[in-house]
Amino acid sequence: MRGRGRGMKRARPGRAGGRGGGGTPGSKPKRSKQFWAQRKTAQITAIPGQSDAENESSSSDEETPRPDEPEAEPTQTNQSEPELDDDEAIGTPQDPFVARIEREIPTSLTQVIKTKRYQTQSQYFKHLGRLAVQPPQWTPQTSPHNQSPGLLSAEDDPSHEALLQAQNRLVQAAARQPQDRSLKGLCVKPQLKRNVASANPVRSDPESQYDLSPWQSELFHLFNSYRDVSYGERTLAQGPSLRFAYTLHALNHLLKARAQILTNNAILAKDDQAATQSGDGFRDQGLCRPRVLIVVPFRDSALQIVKLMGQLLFGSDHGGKIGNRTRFEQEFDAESPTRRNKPDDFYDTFTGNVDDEFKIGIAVTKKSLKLYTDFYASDIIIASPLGLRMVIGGLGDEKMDYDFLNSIELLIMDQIDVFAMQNWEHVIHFLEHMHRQPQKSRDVDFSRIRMWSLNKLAPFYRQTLLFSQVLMPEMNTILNKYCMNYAGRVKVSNPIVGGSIRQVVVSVPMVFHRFESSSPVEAVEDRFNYFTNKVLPEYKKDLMYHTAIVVPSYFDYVKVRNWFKKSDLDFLEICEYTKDGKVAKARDLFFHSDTHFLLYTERVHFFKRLVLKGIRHLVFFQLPQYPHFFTELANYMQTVYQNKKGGSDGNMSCAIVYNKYDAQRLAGVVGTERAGHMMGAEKNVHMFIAGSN
Amino acid sequence: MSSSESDNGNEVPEEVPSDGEDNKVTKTFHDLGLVDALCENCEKLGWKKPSKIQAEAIPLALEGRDIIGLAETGSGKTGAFALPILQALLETPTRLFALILTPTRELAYQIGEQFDKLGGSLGVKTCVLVGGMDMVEQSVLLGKMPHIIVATPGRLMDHLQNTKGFTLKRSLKYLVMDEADRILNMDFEKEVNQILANIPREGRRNMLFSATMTKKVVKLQRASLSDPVKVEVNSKYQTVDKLHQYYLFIPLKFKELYLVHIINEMQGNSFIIFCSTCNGTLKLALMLRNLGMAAIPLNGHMSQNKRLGALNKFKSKSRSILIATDVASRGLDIPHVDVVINFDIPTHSKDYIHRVGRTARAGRSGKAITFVSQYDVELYQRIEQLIGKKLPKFQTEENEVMTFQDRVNEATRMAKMELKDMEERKKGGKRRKRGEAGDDFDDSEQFIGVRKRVKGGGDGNRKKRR
Repeated sequence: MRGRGRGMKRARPGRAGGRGGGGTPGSKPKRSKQFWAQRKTAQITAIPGQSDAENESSSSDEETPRPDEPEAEPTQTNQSEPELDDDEAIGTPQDPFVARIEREIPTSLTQVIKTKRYQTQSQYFKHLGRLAVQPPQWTPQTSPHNQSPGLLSAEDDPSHEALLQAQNRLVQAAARQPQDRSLKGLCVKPQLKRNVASANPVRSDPESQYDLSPWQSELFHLFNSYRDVSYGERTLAQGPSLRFAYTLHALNHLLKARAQILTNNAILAKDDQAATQSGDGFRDQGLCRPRVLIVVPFRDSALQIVKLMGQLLFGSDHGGKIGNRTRFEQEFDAESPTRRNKPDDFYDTFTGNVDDEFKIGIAVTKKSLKLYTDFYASDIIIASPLGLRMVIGGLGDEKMDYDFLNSIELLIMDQIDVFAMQNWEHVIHFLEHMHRQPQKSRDVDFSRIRMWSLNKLAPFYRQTLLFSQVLMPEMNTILNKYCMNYAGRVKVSNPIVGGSIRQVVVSVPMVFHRFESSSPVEAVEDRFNYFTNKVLPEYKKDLMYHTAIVVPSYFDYVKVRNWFKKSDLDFLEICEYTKDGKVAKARDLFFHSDTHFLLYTERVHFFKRLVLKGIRHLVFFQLPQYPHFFTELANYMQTVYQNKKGGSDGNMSCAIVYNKYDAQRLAGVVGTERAGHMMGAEKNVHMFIAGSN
Repeated sequence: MSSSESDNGNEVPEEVPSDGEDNKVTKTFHDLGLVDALCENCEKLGWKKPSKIQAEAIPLALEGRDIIGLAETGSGKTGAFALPILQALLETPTRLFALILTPTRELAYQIGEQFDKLGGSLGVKTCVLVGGMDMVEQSVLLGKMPHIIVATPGRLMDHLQNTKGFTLKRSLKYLVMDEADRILNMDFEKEVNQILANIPREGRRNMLFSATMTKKVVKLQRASLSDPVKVEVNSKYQTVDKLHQYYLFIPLKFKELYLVHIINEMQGNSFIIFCSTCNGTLKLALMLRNLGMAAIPLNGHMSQNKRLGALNKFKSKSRSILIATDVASRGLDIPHVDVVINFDIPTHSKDYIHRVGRTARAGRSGKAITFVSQYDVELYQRIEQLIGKKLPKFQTEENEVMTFQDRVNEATRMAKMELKDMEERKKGGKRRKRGEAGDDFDDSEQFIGVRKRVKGGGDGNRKKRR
């Protein structure tokens, strides 16, 4: 308990002192480094008076490692939260930004993270639902600065512990259900706070005093705790409001960082000697400039984000304040296709400009937002995975450029599910190149670079926010393999009730075949063998005409197709590389029962949403990533889509092949509860009669 | 250039090899005015007593005087400037406190290590800046604001110009030039001038150290010493007493032969063989390898990593023969070197002193053999004049030497062929690269033309000969 309690009390006298001299609301109070230092000393001198009483009251708590008690002492909670008055708190250790960035993490903590030791605490937020909060399994050693190693230990700043405690407290506080929906206590820069109400696309009630919707508020609390967040239930409708929440967070982070640099610049310009005297006091940068990387799948998403940034920074009349705006709109804006007979979610995904190769650097200055800046002169980079891949270059390329990824402090990946449909390898590629040592020095002042950046600890200071429409195992891979945030992470994981199978209207027996496999790698081969040996023989019979086989992954698809070719089977194929004419021909032949099999990939369905008519038998080589594709494809077996001359309604079936590594996809289709049963069951074949549920 | 730091810790305590009866040797580090922490670290390194140059220079340096230190090779010069700097640093902890300039990269690493050993446990951070290594990596180290910088002039200049935020103007208090005569030489003139313009003039202490010192006042003035004290342990250019020096007067064409003979005779010892050219080192190394002797070349044409690798192999005794150019002539402290052979006679006679100083370090004994061919007599006489003594002849049995003749000739021929192959491969590689880049078609054509011409010419010659 020590950290929370004392850190807070320590902070109070300093804050009270600061209030008197604080700036007028609206204008940013000038907070210099010295100012900061004064506060620190004030806090520290305040300890002796308080610590005695404090130690007695909480002496039993002293020994207990704090993170082990998840929700202890609600009284303390109540005390600490409303106390924070933002405009005052920004730039002090009360500010999550400062607490996070200024802290130097010890090696013991980096070790814990490298070995992936996390503890899990469950939380419940009213609107987000179940959260798994996973801080690293580490307890701070008591006052590490006491064991001063040598005569030259000037680096050991006694205020460090205060920072550590403040940060821990903030993380704890932010992981609790927010009490109200205002931006109070979140240390949002006044410049942004002014415009939040007008810019927020989903401000539920115009009369209400709250600027964020309850859902946004909960998310923003999570963001502001600087933990990694993985959210796998992002509906398309939530898109704009989610975008708003993370844009707000990104700008808030950036403006604070910029303010720090500017005040330091001012001090250094005034007093040349200051630099030598205070030594490490002015370290405020990374090895290169970009701090925020936002990865989105389409140009349109980038357009929306930039629009939001303009509104947040300058209010609704942001006209001339965005540099290169016309060019940007020309390149990033486009008419959406008119809605016709395809499902709504198709048009919602592909709105506006859906080009997937782009990257843009954005520099934030006091009065303007400059677009198309050089990467090394940008604060924010918005790009698609393919765009990044093109900039970085591949292994064989003569010139690779990944230096701009060195100092990313905030990585936001939105619509990860679409990345998987585009090309997952590009995602892995840029993640692999994060935080590598730059090949060239990029015009940065080396005396201003943060110590942790020089010590190659930047990966531990990156917050990663992952958003996807469906929960995917890939998200966990990213978190486990590429994220080392020292504050740990939060996963939103709600059970899926019912699953998409409920929307299936045809009453066809659906047989789920489970096969066993010892590892995800072997599963690929095992699945193929199971499919060709156990499932397919049934469908080779003449009676089983009109069999569509859905192979979600293109790699599997190629394998299956080659096998079909080799076995001399009568089949048609539609994949994302098939030409339009051939697609039309294949659909026609299939419908008119000229050919036995049709091979089909999930990707082509994602991008084209073809209606496949005349399916009598449907086989899923693997469950699709999107559960609603399962429903859609199964519902193509309705009578309206059938060729009356080709087969009878009595002769219809559906088979699904899955194994334990498909748990998340299965849960999407049949619901979490049933998926659990099916995984644990002894029998490896389950049958559902859809339409009857 | 220190006394007995060395890798094999339990070194014989300092015994200053000197002719005079010295009452100063009885002093301890403590008596010199060093603080306890430093004395402890000296002891950990196995330095029991200060060497003569240390005993003389440290008290003066602690007083804050500028120093020109002259002492024979292997007498602990690094300690003589490192200890006072560390002490001053401990008094007023300052970042970017001292700059040590050295002429060679290897020497820079060696001095850096020494500082780490002496001050690392006290929290002193040292950074080594040399060419051939990654600039950004070094910039990152500079960003951490080390206390001590050890550098070669070229790379330091590069950083002063290109690494933003790195300046020595504010805080530098000590400038040391190790092997000062070489640094003040013309080779480094431009860099040193620029460096001197980029460091503070006021309140800076200077120390110049070397075994041989230039007498030209003009050169010394460039270092802008103020009221310097000259600390000379031996007034004459001298070499250590336990160093046995010989010369060998032989015809040029038998040089390789005699070399192989000597190595063969003295098997089990470790050698440094000095050549005058980079190619020469390579050729000799290949030849000796053909004869089954573990030789390793070290020269300026090798990449920095390879140079360090070669040196480490020799230091760790996995190779017993190091064949080097003058890059290795100064300052390198490898205690176990038994024999130095001047395969090619040094063109600057002062280099002779540095070369033979690689052996007989820190009170050990060692041998130095200089090959003198019919063309080198004048150079040799100059050396004798410099060191002020006549050297004895190295005794060999000519009959025995000549038994190797056939094998050595064969090995030399093979080495030449290998060398030629290597060169061609290099050229070929370059040509291929150029071809890939898709330019310079002309060039390759020209090349073929030249080849043909050469071939034709060759044929003609042969005919003529017939």
